[in-house]
Amino acid sequence: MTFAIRNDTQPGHLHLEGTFNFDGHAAFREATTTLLETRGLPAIVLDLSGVVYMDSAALGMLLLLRERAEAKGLKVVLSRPSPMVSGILQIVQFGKLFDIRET
Amino acid sequence: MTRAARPWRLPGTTRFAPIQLRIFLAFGTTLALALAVGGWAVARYFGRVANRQIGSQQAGLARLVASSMDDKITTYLGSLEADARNCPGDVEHDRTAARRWLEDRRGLRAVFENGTFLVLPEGQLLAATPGSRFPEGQSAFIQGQAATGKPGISEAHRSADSGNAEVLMVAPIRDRNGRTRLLLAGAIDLVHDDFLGTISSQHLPDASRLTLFDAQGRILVHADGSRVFSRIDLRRWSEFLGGQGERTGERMNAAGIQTLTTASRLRSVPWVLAATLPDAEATLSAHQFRRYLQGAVAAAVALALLLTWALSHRLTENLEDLTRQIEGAADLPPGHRVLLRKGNDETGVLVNAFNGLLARLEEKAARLQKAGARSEEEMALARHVLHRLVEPGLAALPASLHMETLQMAWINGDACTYREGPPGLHFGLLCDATGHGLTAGISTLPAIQAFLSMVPRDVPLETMYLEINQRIHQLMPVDRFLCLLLVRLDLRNGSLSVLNAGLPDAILCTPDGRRRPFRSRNLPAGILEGGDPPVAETVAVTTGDRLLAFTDGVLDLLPGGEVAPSLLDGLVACPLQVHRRVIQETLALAIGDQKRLDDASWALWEVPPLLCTRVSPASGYLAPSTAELEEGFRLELAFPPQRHAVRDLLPDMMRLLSGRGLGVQDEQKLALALTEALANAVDHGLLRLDSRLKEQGFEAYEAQRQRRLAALQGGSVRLSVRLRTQGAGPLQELVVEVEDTGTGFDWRAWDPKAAGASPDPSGRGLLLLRALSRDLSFNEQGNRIRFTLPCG
Repeated sequence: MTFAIRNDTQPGHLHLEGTFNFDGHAAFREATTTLLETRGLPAIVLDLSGVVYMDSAALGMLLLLRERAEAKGLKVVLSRPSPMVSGILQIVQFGKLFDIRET
Repeated sequence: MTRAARPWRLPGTTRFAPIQLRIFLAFGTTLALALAVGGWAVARYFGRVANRQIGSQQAGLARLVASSMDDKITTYLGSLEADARNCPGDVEHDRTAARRWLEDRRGLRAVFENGTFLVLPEGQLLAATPGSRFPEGQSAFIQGQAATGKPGISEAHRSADSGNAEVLMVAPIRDRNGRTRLLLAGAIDLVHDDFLGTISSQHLPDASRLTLFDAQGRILVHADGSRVFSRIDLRRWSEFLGGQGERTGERMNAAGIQTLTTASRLRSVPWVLAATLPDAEATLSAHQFRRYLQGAVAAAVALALLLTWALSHRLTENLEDLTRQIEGAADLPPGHRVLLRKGNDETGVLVNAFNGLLARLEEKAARLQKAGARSEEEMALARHVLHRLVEPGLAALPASLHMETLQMAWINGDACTYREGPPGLHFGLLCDATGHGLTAGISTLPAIQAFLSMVPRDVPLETMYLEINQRIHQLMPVDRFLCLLLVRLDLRNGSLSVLNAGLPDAILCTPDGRRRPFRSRNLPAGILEGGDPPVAETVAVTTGDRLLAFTDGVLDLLPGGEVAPSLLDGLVACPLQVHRRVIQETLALAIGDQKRLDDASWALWEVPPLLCTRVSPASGYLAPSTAELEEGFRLELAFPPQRHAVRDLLPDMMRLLSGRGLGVQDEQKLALALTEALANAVDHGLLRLDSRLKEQGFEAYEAQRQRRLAALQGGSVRLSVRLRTQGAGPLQELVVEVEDTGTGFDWRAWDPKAAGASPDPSGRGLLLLRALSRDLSFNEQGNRIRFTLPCG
């Protein structure tokens, strides 16, 4: 299943779908860069409910986004991770780095 | 090593429709079709024109013949009338004179070849020209004409001589009173040359057939003599003529043959003259023209196709040559793939463009080949380095440990290795770096290096993690991190320590099926510089327990995330080799033909026979912690005594422990207890200093101590402090272990009462510890002391 990323109706929200690995690097960077350049956003919220697979490269992308967002004073929220993604985030203890919202 | 260049081919050049063929088919077919249709139209047009002309010609001639007959009838009647006026008055009484008079009428005789006659009004023949025969059955006609006193023409009848149709024309001869005294008559053969034959033979088309029929439908003249006086279907003829005097058109004759027919009514008599020509004969010339035309069109089509082929070949030969050159270029060696320009048209531009493209492609291919070779060289180097780091450990795996990586690529982001530490200690590392391939492989290097360098010093797992974390964070970009699992198996006391940072749960399983997971309680290494202190977990193990650890690639292979049932259930009681084989086969089955997304590493470690006999709880050694207490923060340190004075260590340790619920008194008590325990471990355990030296003065003792420290080869002290709480409640107790690598203290010979009663300045440390703590115990060897400090 290919990776797809699209803007949600709410400002600052991105909806991610499919297999989130290194192949989605360019799309993820492009989408997040646009968001980072948007003024007045309270946070960047990534809706992970459609992600069926995620690897360490994807985790690395999240870390890069976190660093870039922090430089602009923005929080990164990981929203509605699927059970598989939630398990990975738990294993790598990303709860210590990100605001993870199950709903 | 470089890979052999693959021959390149233009896609889809094996089968194609040449442009020349397409031009030929398109234009040739169009041209041939146009010529054929044009030929057909011309033939049809000329056929119609010819038909119309023949019809028109036939109509004109039929009209001429009919008109000629009318003229002749009128003239002949007029001749009779003229001669009748001149007839002498006595001839009706003198037959001889009458015959002579008739014979003298040479003009009439020339016209009426079947005879001229003088007839009485009652119908009796008076005189006839010699050799002629007066037709029978004409009495009524004669009487009728005598009564009217007008000239007339009889109905046609069959000539007794020729069998042809014959008519009788009469003109009355009147007396002075205007009464008809005689009638002058003349018989005419209708087929006679002078009447019809000559004119019809002269003017009608060869194939036309002339038919004359009267108002009763009797045929008077017909090409077929046998049909004379047979009857025709008058109704059909009436329909054909449609009340007109003349008409030309197509009609079916009595024999069922399509004919071109012209019918014309005569004016002087109620007869109809018809000229008919079979269509086949009428259109014969058109048919001949059509055949000529077909031949001409076929020749023109063949010529057109030939010209189209030649023209299309001329137009496309440069393109065809270019195609052949491009196809053949695949067989030429690199550097010689140049196309020759043949024409000054677009193909010349294509050749130039293609040559430029080829040159750029070959240049890029060469660069790519170089880059590939360089990349392979770099990969080989990285692989060599990784193997140098990992392989010695894997080659030295004890029989009780199996670990392997199922690689997805030549260089992978997973690594696992093993190294034996100080006697009785075994260490394992399982790590999974971000991404795959060379970049991921590079990420594992600092971790493996740090691990290998720290194992010989029995550095605590937490310290190892901090070191690895610092190195990765320092060396690697933000998005690169390393999930890892550090394992320390201590066979001296039967303890297993695991630090899990981002890997799936490692599972410790006993032969009777009890499981104990080691969950990830730490961030993967390299993400944060500081962060929470690392957490390692230590549990007591016995021989036969097995630890299964793996990276998330194994979770991908075994969907559902529940690995334990398939890789552990019922297997821990089996021999280790069997257990290992089952896991390998399970993973191989799961891999099958599917495309792997990640490397997969796993390790299966069975606890071999321990080096010491566990002291029973009653003896006080390694007594299980109070069941209701939970392990909290744990500090592990190992250090060589040369570089760290106990006095320097203490402030750091106390700073690490501060803020974790220790009261001021607890801190003081701990500092005191640690000072004593560490001093004992270094001075007596490692340096074997005799306390009785203090009796000679502390200076002598210190001098001896420094000398032995300087001379000490190896040896280290390990300190462990564990905080225990009850649920989320306040700190309950501290469990402290201090272990040295010395030969041990004969704790069985130590008598607390005697030590307490002695006035010596030495031997008080143990007493102090005993007072401060509870559960003070030693191991068998006497190089490890353990005690519990109650808090609060």
